[in-house]
Amino acid sequence: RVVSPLSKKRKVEKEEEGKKEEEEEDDNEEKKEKEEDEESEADGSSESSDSTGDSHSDMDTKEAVDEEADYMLTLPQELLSKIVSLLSTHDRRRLGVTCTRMASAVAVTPMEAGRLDAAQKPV
Amino acid sequence: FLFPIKMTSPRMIKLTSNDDKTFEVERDVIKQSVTVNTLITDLNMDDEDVSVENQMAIPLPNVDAATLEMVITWCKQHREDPPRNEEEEEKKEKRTDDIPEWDKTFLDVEQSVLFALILAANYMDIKGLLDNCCKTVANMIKGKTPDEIRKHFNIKNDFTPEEEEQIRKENAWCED
Repeated sequence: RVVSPLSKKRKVEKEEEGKKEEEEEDDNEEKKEKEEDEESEADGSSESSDSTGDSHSDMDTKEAVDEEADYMLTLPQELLSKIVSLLSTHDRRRLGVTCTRMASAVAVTPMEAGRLDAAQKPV
Repeated sequence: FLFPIKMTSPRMIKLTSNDDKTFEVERDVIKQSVTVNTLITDLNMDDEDVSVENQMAIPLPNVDAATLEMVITWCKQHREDPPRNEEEEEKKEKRTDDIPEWDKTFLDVEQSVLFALILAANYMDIKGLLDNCCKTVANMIKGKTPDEIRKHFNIKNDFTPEEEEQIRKENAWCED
């Protein structure tokens, strides 16, 4: 079988290209490994710092935010009024001085006529 | 003489929460929600020829799965309740000490859950659940001083010093 010089050249070029690609792949792999090592080191350090109390502080702040949420003020005025309508004058007044939202909810809720449990304002 | 008895399974309705969880509920249970009931009627979902599998789920974009599950539990418990007459309910004296024992226990939950239930009951128009939730909150407020109410519900005092002074003067008579 006769091999033409052109095909020989192509073979050689292909082999060279293949070598180059392999070298590049090796380089890439080495780079990746290095990056991964660096990342894992960084993670390890962050984990170690977490274990020293950072994770706890995060949890604490989340819990604190949750505890401090004023769920009652998420209600629309209509529902606040419904709750206020169930209260006596005395309890309404006390609720009305807690914040501006409650003050307006108390102000817009009419008092039931003839409520006997309501504390009466002295004349 | 034996008569053939037609055994019919209860009609089921699909509800989807805002976090894409689907619940299958008996038609008789969820009829307490005026919102869902109206949708079922308007969309002709009472058609018995349509199987549950082929039935469209009713989306409830304002209710999450955990809250919807609680709402369904409440509706199951109260499925035998007589229908409410709103006119009579309006005329009745407003009380907060008439919450049924089961509901008291059921509503003994964290504030986040209780207020989510209030919003869901309002959106789904379930009067009985909404009333009992509001009564539970009213009972939490009753007998507390303004500071105690603020502490209990995590309410921040956002009055200006001048406003606060004026309000204190106006309400001095009800302060302890």
